[in-house]
Amino acid sequence: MDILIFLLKVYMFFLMFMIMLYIVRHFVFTYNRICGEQRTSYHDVMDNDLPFVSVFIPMHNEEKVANYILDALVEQVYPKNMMEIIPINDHSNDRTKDILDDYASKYSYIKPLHRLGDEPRGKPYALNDALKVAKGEIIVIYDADYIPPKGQLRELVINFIDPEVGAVMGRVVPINTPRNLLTRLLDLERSGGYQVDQQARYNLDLIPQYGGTVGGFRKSLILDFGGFDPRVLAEDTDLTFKIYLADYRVVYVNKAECYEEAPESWSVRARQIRRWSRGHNQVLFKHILPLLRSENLSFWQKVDGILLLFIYMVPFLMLLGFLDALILFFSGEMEIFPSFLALSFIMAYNSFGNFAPFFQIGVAGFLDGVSQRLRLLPLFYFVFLFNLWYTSLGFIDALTDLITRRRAEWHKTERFRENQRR
Amino acid sequence: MAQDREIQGESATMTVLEVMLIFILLLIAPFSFALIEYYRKKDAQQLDINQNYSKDPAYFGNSFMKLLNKSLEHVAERKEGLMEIEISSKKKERLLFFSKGSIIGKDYGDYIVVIDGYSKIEEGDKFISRKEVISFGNLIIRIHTKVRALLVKGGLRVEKPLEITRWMHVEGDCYIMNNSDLGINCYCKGMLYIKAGCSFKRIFAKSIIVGMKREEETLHNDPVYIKGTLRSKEGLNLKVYGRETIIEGNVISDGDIIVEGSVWIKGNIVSNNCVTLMRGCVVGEYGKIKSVVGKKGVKIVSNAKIYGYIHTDGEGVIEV
Amino acid sequence: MKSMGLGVGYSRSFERRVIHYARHGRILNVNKLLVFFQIVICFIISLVFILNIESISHVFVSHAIYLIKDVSVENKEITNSIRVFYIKYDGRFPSIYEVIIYIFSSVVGIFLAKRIKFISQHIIIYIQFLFFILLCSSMFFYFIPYKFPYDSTTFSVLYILTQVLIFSFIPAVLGLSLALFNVSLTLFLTNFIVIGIALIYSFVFGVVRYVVMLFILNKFSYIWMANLFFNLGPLLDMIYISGVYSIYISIISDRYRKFTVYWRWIY
Repeated sequence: MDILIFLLKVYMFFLMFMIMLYIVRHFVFTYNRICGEQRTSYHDVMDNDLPFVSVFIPMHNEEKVANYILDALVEQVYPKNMMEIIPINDHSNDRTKDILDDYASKYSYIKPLHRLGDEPRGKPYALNDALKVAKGEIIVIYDADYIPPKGQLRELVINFIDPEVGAVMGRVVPINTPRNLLTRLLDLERSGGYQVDQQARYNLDLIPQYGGTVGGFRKSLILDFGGFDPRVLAEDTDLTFKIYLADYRVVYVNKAECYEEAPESWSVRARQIRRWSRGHNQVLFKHILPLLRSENLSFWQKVDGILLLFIYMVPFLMLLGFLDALILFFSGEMEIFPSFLALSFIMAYNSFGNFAPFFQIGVAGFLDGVSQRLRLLPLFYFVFLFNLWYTSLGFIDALTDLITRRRAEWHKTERFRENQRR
Repeated sequence: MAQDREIQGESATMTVLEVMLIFILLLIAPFSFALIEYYRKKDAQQLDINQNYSKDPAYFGNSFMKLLNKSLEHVAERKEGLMEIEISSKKKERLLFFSKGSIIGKDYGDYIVVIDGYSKIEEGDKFISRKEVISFGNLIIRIHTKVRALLVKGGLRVEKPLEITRWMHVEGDCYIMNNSDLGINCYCKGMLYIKAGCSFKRIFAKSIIVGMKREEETLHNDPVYIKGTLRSKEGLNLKVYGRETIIEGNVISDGDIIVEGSVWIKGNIVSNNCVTLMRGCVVGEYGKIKSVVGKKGVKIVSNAKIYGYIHTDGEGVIEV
Repeated sequence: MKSMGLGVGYSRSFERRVIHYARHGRILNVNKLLVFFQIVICFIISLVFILNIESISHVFVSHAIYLIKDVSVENKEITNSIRVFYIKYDGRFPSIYEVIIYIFSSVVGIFLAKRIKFISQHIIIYIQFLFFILLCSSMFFYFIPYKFPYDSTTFSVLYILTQVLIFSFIPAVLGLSLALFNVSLTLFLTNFIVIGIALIYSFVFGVVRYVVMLFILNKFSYIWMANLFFNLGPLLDMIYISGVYSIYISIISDRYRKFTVYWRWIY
């Protein structure tokens, strides 16, 4: 019994140490973003020798949003003879196919790829099939609910003049912010994650993440990797680590802002986080050892990489921490030092604001020039447990996948926009 | 363990219910501002993204010209003198029209100066306008001139110091023969010849020729070719004399880049620090647009030719 | 939609080059010396709180007794030199009937909460968490009530110690978070005012919460102690800390975005 109590206390201290590490990390990033030197991407370069780019848009039942993304891509100032748009119709059973064929009939550079047979469904499979037909040396991916501004393709692709660049990532901004409380909170969370976290990691030459949308990569690189791994739900995180392990890097373009549709219901959000957590933890199991062994990464890149890999596991560890503390409480081990209480405070401090602590969101809002919406921060209190729970479930899913070698099934996020007929 | 009974509790000033109520109020109070903002939606809109934005060095001139043309649509006859027009939906501006010819230099204050044809600004001490100056024909500047913005629909020749606060836009060739400040954005549709010291932030031209012209088509014997991009985390120093070096790619560095002598870089030069181009180097190719980007500064000394664009967020300096 | 790209602002004096820095690259002209001083001073304040547990607990408790009848203030030695003052107010053990009722209602609460349509999922999880802790506590009191290791004295001491810890956390947490905005002496001073407000709120809230907890333990039994620690503990303090922070930041964000002198571009 004594040994058990001892182990439980050790776990508690280990968890506190880990959370303190993340707090320090977030603080360093926040400080760097608000007053440190910013590393800019190559978007200031004007060059009319642009590479041929293939734009992939994975779509499954996207009749509500397909028109928006395609209209936006048609408006791009990128030379049309140097681009092709490949919307990937992945087993849709709504009007997606008709919409895509309609656009293809009007624009020669829109070349839909219809996956309707017995091939397995899912984003990695769809992307791999598109890679086989894509002519571009650079691939840019947009999710179907995104609306890129006119000059964005050029802003993203120009970064590949640097041969060290393996992938590029822009900033995601929710378009449906006013909708309800969830979208407003997600808008704040996104701000913190992109305006501060991603930019700081780019500034400090750490590991900014390629997010799988509003981003692009070199086709040759992904083909060298054997395409996208269909066993991994988070193909974007998987690609990020593959890129760094292959001695390339990801450029984060804070200027390349693109609208997306944030989930509008808590159940959709729950499924989304659970899927992200599952995918991310799959990447953790896959890349943790290669990351530690890699000779292509600096010490700090490895540290950041490890913290990044564990970020979706920490909520599960915190949940265990709660149970740990419960056992310690009923064992009467709170007498000498209220460690759990200190822990819960630290946990709240770090996780409040969920994937971006409250001070990171505050600074992001300050830099974005917003004001009143920052007053919503205390409402993250109610989202803390929600995120903790579903992220933990995602971790358990990933662990189960690892042990049982189960294959993940792809489920896309539900859309809310009303379709606008052209 | 010492357990001293110190103070006997006095009668409470509040009942249990009152204390509970205060507790609930204190619990809710921090949420109150959040709930007020949630229901009032004072700051609930999505972050504004300009969906029409694309990088365009001619943006300032073109957009101003659009506004001006729209305002002048209703003007029956453009004749010399004062005029008041609505240049944007909220602002009324005062315009001063000059027909072509010689313009007297003086302080024109808050007037937008419109010159309707080929003109010279040559009489007087100084030409000052705190607004935009537009010339619908070629323009020659022969006195010290200081304007907020300058738009020339033809060619421009600057023989005395020119100070631009914001932007300049020239649709023909441009000759800068005296020390000038080219403002934040300098766009030239034709060739830009600079034969004096200048400061700048952004310059765009078909070709930017600093100092004496260098004929890049005349290759010396046995040039050295480097195919591909030169990429360095530290600085890059390319100094070549006597033998031509042609780099068929980009030059990129996190540190300073110094290029001096007979170096022809056919791609872009990008530095996270400063870029210095000296004595004869060439960037880009005729007919193409390439860039020189130095985040903290760009310095061009003596002779250089750039086909396209120069950009810095620090100080741009040209020394001839 | 208006442009948020590199817009050109109009200045009253045309000589000044005024550009309203775009959000993707603007940074604050932070005074690093003020940042350093603020962090140091805040950590010193935190240390002062930790080193004065005894006097703080005395002040704390001497305010709390105004809210509660017929109690005495006692103190307990926790180390050789440190004593913690607390209010002596007995709690009670639950009766077996109470325990059974709590078990039953917790189980029902956990499963029924999900069925309530008009409450959002994130609130439901929170309610389920409350019931889960209650269930654990009820099960404990059902099977091994004699093993319950705490009484109101230990509870009080733990609570006071936690409260002192929270007092010391506030200057550290807010000091670090607000130091990032030190562009001027004015902000440096107002930051401390904000920290002061948070401390005062914490003190008042802490006192009232303490009394409420003592009431609960007395009227509703020790079965609620776990929930008091886990749900009414430091997690709750984060609400007003982030609340104070968010109100302050929203005000200075509104003011300071208009002053270009406090901003610069990318480096």
